[in-house]
Amino acid sequence: MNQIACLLLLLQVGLFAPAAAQHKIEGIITDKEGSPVIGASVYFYESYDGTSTDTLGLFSFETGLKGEQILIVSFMGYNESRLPLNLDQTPEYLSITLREDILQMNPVVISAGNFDAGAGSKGEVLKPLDIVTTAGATADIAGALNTLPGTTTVGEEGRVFVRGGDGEETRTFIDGMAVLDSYATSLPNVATRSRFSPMMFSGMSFSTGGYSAEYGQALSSALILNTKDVATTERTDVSLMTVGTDIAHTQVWENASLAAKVQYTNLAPYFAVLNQRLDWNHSPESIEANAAYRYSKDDFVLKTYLNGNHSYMDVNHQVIGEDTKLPTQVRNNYLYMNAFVSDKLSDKLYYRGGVSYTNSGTLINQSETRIDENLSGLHLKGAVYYDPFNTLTINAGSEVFINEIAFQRPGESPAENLDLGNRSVLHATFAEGSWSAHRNITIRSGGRLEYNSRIGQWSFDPRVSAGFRLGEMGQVSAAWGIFRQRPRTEFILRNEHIEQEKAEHLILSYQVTKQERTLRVETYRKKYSDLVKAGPEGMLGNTGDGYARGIDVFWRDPKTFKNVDYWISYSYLDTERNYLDYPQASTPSFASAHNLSVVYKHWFSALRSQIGLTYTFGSPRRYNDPNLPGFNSEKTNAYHNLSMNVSYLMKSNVIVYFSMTNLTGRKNIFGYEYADAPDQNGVYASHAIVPPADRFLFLGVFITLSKENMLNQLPNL
Amino acid sequence: MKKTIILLIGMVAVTTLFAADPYTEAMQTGMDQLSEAQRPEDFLKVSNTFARIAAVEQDKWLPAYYAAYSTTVYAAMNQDPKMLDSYLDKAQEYLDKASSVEENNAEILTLQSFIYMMRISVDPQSRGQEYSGKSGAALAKARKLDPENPRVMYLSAQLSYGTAQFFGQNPTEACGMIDQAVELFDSYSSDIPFYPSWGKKMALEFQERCK
Repeated sequence: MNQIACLLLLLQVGLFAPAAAQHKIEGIITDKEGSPVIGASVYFYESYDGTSTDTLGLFSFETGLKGEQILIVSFMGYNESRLPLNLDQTPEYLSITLREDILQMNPVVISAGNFDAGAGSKGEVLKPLDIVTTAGATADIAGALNTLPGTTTVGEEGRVFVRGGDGEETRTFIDGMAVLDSYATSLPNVATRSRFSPMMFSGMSFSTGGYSAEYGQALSSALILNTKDVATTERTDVSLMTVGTDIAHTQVWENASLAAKVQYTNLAPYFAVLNQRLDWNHSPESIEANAAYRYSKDDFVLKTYLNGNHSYMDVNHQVIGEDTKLPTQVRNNYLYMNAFVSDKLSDKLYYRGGVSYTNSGTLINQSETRIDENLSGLHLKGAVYYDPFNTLTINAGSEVFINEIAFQRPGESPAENLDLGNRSVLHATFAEGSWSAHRNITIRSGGRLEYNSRIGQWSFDPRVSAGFRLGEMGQVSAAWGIFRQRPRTEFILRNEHIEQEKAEHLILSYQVTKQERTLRVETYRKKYSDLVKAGPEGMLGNTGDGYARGIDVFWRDPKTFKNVDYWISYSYLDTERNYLDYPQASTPSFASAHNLSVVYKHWFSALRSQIGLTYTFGSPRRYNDPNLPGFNSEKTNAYHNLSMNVSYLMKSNVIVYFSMTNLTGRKNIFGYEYADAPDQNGVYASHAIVPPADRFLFLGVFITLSKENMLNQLPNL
Repeated sequence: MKKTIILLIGMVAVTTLFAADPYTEAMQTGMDQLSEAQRPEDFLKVSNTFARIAAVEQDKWLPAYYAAYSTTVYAAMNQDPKMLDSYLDKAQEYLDKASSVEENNAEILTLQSFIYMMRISVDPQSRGQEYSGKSGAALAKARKLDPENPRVMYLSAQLSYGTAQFFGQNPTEACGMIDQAVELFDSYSSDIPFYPSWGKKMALEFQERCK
C-alpha cells in the first residue's frame, strides 16, 4: 500500500514539478539595414515555446526543451529563418537578421509595353470594369483599348491598331489560348466589334509591344484575356437593349459553376427610327450562345468556354462611280471553344495546359458571285511555371497551331471555279526566366523557337526585358525582342513561298504612381522586315520593310477630384512602310501622327448615376488619289469625336444605361475610296469613307435577379 | 491508510484538473493577450501566439482561427492600404488551416466573410462584385449552419445597412437585424472552450447608430 501511495505521490510531484532546467533564450531580430523587426514570431519548432519581438526588435523567453532544437523566426514579408540550437548548453545571446522575401513584398513588375488590368495584378492601370463604363467604347473591348496610348483610331475598322501596325497585327488570347477571327463579321469600311463581352473576364493584359515569349504569331500587340474564376452566387441577368436582348444565368455548385447566356441582336428597329447611310435589305441580325464552366478544388482549376454565333445581313452595295447597287448578303457562322487546366504539382512546380478551336465560315453572295470562306484553327499548349528558388521563376512550354483555310468561288463554267485551300502546322517551344535579382530589379529573358511546316522553316525569337524600381521616384523598364506572324490569309492561299513577317521592338518606359495617380511615358522603335510585297509580275515576296517610332504618354488620376476618375492618353507616331503594292515607302493610310483620348467619369451619389465623357482626336490620315501624281500624298481632315454615357442605378438590381457617340454631330471622313479603273473621261471616280451614321445611340436596361437580394451590381458603378 | 490513498487519488484528480494541459494553458495565454490587446502590434503578438499553438495542434481549428482573427484585426488597424492585401493573405493562410481541420464551421465562414469584405475596401470598384458575392455566399452558408450565431447576424446587418444607405432607403431591416444580433450575443453560448465571442461591442456601437 505504501508503495502505491509513494507512486501516486511521485506522480503528483511530477505533475507539479517544473520541467527541470529552464533556458532563457534572448536576442534581437533586425533586417538587412539593421533596423529592428517589430512583431516577429520567435519560437521552437513544434513547440509552444516562443514569443514575439518588441518595439526594439528584442525577444526573450524561457524553454524547458532539451537537445537539438530548431528556432524559427518568421514575419510577414520576410523569409523564414531557421536556426539549429543545442539546448544542452546555455544558449548565447542571439542576433538574427531577416531577409526580405522579394516575391512576397511586391517584386518589380516589368511595365514596358504592358497595360495590365485586373484584380491582383500590381502594375494595373485599367480595370475590366473601366471598359464597360468608358463612353464611346459601347462596352466593346477594342473600343476601350483605343483610348489607351499606342493606339490609332481607325474609325472605319473598329479594330485595335497598335504603334504603326495594322489591325491584323494585334492577336487575342483567352486563358492563354489563341483566338482566330476575334472580331464580329462586318462589311468593308463599317466598324466591327470584338466578339467577346468584357464582363466575362476578370483581368486583361494589353501589350503594345515587348511581350513574353509565351505569345507568338503577333507582330505588334497581344491582348491576353483571363476569364473569371468559379462563380459563388447564383443569378439571372436580363438585358433589354435598343439593339436586342439577352438572358444569362449562373448556376453554382460546390467548387463549380456554369454560366450561360443567349443573346439576340437585331438592328432593324433601330435602323427604322434612325437614318442610316447604308441601304439595308436586311439589317444585321445575329444570335449568339455563350457558356462557361469552371471547376476548382484546392489548386486544381478547370475552365471551359464556348462561344457560338450566327449572323446575317443584306445590304445594297453602292458601286463607286456607278448608279447600280449590288444586293450583297453576308452570312457568318462562328464557333470558339477552349479548355484550360492548371494545377500545383509541388511548391515549386505548377503546370497548365489547354486546347482551343476556332471555326469561322463566311458566305458572301453578291449578285451572281458567291464566295465561301472558311478558316479554322486548333491550338494546343502545355506549359509549366517552375521556381527552382525563391527569386527565379521559369516559364516554359510547348504549343502547336494547326490552321486550315479554304476559299471557294464557283465561276460561270467549272473551269473558272476557284477552289483554294491551305493547311499549315506550326510548332513552338518557349522558355523564359524571370529573375528578381534585387527587390528593385527584375530581369526577364528567354526565347521562342518555332517550326513552320508551311514553309519548312525554323525560327528563333529572343526576348529580353527588365524593370528597375527607383523607389518613390517610380520605375524604369525596357524591353527588346523579335516578333513574327504568318502573312494574311489571302496571301497564304496563293500557296507561294512566303515567309513569316517579322518585327523588332525596342521599348523604354517610365512609370510613376503616387497616391493612385499614374504617369507613364514610353518611347519605342519598331523595325519591320520580311513584309509581304508584290514583286515583278505580281509575284509575292518578303521584300517589304518599314519602321515605326514614337512616344506614348498616359496620365490617370482617380484621386484629385471627388467622385471623378479621368485619364488622358497621347500618342505620337512616325511610321512608314513599303509593302503590298506600294511603289515606295509611305505612311500607311491607317496611321496618324497624333492621337489623343480624354476619358472622364463622374459619379453623382445623389443621382445614383455615373456620367462619362470621352473625347478622341486623331490627326489627318493619308490616302491615295490615283488621279494625282505621287502615292499616298493626300490627307483627310482630322478626326474628332465627343461621346457620352450615363449609367443610372434605378434599383439595387436594375441599371439603366444610355450612350451616344459624336455629340457634336461632326462629319468625320476616314478616307476616300476610288474605282478600280478610270471612267471615259480618264478620271477615277471616288467616294468618301464615312460611318454608316454620324451618331450611334444606345439604350439598355439591365436587370439582375439573385436569391441573395443583398447582392447586386452596386459595387460595379 | 485507505483514507490516505483515497485522499491522494482525490488530490491527483484535482490537481490534474487545475494544472491545465499545455494546450489549455497556451490558449489561455493567447486569450488573455487578445483581451488586453489595443495597439496593432499587440494583435500581431496575439496572432504569433496562436500561430505557434496552431503549428503544434494540427487537429484543432481554434488556434488557427484566432491567428486568422487577430491578423485580420491587425490588418484592419493598419493605415497603409498597399499592405492590407498581404496582411489579409496571411490571415487567409491561417483561416485555410482552420477550415482544413473543420470544413463546415459557421465561425470560420463568418470570419471568411469578414476577410472578403475587407478585401473590397482595397479597390471597391473592381473588387466589389466578386468579393461582395463571395462574402455574401460565405455568410449565407454560415447562417444555414448556425442560424442563432450572433456574429453571423451582426455581419448580415452590417451588409444590409451599407446597401440601404447607398440607395437612400430606410435601414429598418438592418436595424431590426442588429437588435436581433445584440439579443443573440446575450443568449448564445457554446460548450466548446475558447469558443469565439467577439463582436458584441461593435454590435452595440452599431445599434447606437440605428437609434
